[in-house]
Amino acid sequence: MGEVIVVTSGKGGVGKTTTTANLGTALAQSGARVCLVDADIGLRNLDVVLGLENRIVYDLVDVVEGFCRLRQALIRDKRLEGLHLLPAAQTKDKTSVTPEQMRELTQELRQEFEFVLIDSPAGIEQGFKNAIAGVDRALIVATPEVASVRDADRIIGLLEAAEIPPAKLIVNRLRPQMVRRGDMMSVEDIIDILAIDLIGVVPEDEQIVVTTNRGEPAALIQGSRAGEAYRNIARRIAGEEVPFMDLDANSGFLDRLRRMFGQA
Amino acid sequence: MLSLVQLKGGRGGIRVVLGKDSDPATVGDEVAAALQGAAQFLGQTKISVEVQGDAISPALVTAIAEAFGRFPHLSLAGIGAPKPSAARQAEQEPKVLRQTIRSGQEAMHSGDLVVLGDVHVGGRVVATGDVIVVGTLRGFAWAGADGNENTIIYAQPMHPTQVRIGGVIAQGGVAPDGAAAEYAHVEDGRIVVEPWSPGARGGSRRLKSPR
Repeated sequence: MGEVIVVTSGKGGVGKTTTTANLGTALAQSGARVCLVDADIGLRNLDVVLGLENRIVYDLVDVVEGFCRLRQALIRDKRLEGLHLLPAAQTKDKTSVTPEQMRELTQELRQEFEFVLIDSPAGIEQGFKNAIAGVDRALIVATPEVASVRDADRIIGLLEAAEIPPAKLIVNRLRPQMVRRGDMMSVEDIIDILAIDLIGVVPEDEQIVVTTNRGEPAALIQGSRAGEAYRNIARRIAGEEVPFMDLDANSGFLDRLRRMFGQA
Repeated sequence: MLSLVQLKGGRGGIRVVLGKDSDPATVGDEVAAALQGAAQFLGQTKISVEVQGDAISPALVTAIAEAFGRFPHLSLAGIGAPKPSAARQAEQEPKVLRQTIRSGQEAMHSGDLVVLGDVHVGGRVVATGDVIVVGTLRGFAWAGADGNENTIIYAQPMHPTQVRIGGVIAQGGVAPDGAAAEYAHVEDGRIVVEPWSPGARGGSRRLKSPR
């Protein structure tokens, strides 16, 4: 029986979809059977980030409404065996699915996959309620901004109310140099405010922009700092103990040199 | 002998307060005497009568109404029992919450409210009695929510976004470095935060009114 994990944040634009795509890719790279579910009905993006947009035939709403079987709607990634996507509908909206239907759907998916990752829409309304229905655990994505952290706090409270086990935090788009200058919240500041466990820190990385536009998750690319961070988080999700990356770019010339050659 | 009838002013207007065991036979004259003494400055006012102690008898009501009849410019707003006092509310069981109050969450209680955890920005704790946060207060706290300004807000320390005690509202602020347990109370119509232990670091500070 697989595990159902929701990736959520409250605030939009903090990197939920990118995170879902990269974690799914990294988990599949390690040989797991993974299904990514785009719960952002009406504003589907996950297929684009994964580069699977032109292969969609059926979507999540078709499955829920019984127009097709689940298997028909799943798209198999060609780069990675084991990686699957259940795309969102683009012509419907969040009210076309109920939490009860989502619960049934994830129940079916977990029979077949080791990891089912749900990409939650922004907000706390119906779409969010659908995304968290029937999940085993939650990953909260927050960027080092006050508004993002505030929304994350709200989401953690709502997850607690829904009796989902304590969520783990992913700090996304951290810029260590700005933190050092005192111009950005540090990871410690964020943990201090939210009082939850950290599962990973993803540094700001220009390559994310390039790779998401190209439909090729950064986790596939060696030498991408963000990609490496995502691979580490994926290993932690799978239960491995992985030390946190040293994001301090100022850690000395030799370290930087080593990093340049992809050994750090 | 102390007069059993007193004239009191408050937020609810002017009230005539009758002592316990008022005798209907004499109360009319006593009320009239009290009103007479103050008739000059009362002007044309509505006055309510508060009867402490036992149930209000028809004879008492008649006597009071007759006494008011002697002062045509005054009108009787009503006769009733006193409103519940602060002392009575404190008797209610305090509520203890063992949780963090996160953004969007609200804890309310009529009586004293104790939170064993932090109150985050965007979280609200509201009580008719005292609010006691055994943790950091960063959100909104309201003690004496039904108007009781003799309540306090306690936190260790307090960096609230806003605090209210009774009808007094104040903007929050950041506690000085090293501040530990603090409490907020009303002093001269303003909210003042002071260290819980005298002489502790931080010192006393007045919070700004939001208006």
